[in-house]
Amino acid sequence: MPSKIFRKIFPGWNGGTYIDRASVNVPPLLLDLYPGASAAYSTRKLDQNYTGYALQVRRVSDNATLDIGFVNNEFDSIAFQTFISGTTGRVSIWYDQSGNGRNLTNGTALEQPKLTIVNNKYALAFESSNGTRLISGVTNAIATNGIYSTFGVGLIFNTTGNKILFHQDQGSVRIGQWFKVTGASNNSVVFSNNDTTNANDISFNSSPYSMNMLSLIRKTSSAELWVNGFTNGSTPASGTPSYSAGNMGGIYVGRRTLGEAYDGLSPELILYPADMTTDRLAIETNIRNYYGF
Amino acid sequence: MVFRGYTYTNATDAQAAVQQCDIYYGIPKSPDDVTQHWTAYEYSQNDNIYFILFDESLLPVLGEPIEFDVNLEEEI
Repeated sequence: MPSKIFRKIFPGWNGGTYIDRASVNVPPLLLDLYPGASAAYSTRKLDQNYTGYALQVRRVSDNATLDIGFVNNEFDSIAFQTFISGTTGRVSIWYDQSGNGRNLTNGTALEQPKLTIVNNKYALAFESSNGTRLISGVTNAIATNGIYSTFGVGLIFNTTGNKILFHQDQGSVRIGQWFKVTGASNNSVVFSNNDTTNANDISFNSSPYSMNMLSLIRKTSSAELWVNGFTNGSTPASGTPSYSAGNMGGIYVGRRTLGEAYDGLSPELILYPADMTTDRLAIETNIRNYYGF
Repeated sequence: MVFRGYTYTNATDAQAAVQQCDIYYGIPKSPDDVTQHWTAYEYSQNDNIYFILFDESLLPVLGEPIEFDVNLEEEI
């Protein structure tokens, strides 16, 4: 991406060196304060008790892999940079920090997202040209009563066509989706689709290269979308959830089909199998303070 | 939707192309690796075509790509 674009979007960037801001990711961490996530992915540490890694990186030059964890609750950038040593690294595993083992993986080298830096934070880059994506084969991240909350950050490069950053489904039924961008109108749509016949949309305007924090809360009879901490409307969530624990699919991040491949960055996605309305503002404040927007 | 890449009329030929790439790039590096293939093929039911998306790394193995049109849009 041209540096002038980054400067426009991220004023803190001075053309090569990011201006450090005080870290807000000090204990207690986000999942310490707001536990109960069914899946949690980030390039920062989210839970003090989490002893695993952030990512597994594959070095493209020789296909060697390395699990990379955290230093002071931040992604261990020194380990990463030392490992790839000026070459390219792709993410083969994005570890689930919730403790539920819903790690996101992709077994195809060219479909693995690259790791890049945005706003002084590491983020995964999903490219529609390669159809990059990560998939969790572990199911049932969304509660079977149909209620869930998702929090995350995304930056879209290209808003033409369908772009799905996150979604989970049951067969052909999509349960939760983010960033379904329609046509050339830069009109991003978040779906909360909880039954076999009804699709519920909430729209918000998004421009290419804009970073957004999205919170989608699917309640018993409605779905609410919050963008960058502000309400973006709600929609009735009509229909009775028909999916069950036995046949709910896994989590897709980056795309489901090639025709829906996301084109952009994401450093963090957190999913709760519950209505997190009470804690929404606090969770969003934590995310916004950390990512600095 | 127009893509650049390689098309095949059956799954066997597409699998063979994937295997060629795996051998060329030494994938998997070990049997337990997450990464089991270098590239993957897709199937378009609407067009009854198997295809591999282009990447520069495929040039020495699969040669020059072509442009092709497939219908992958799903009604949501």
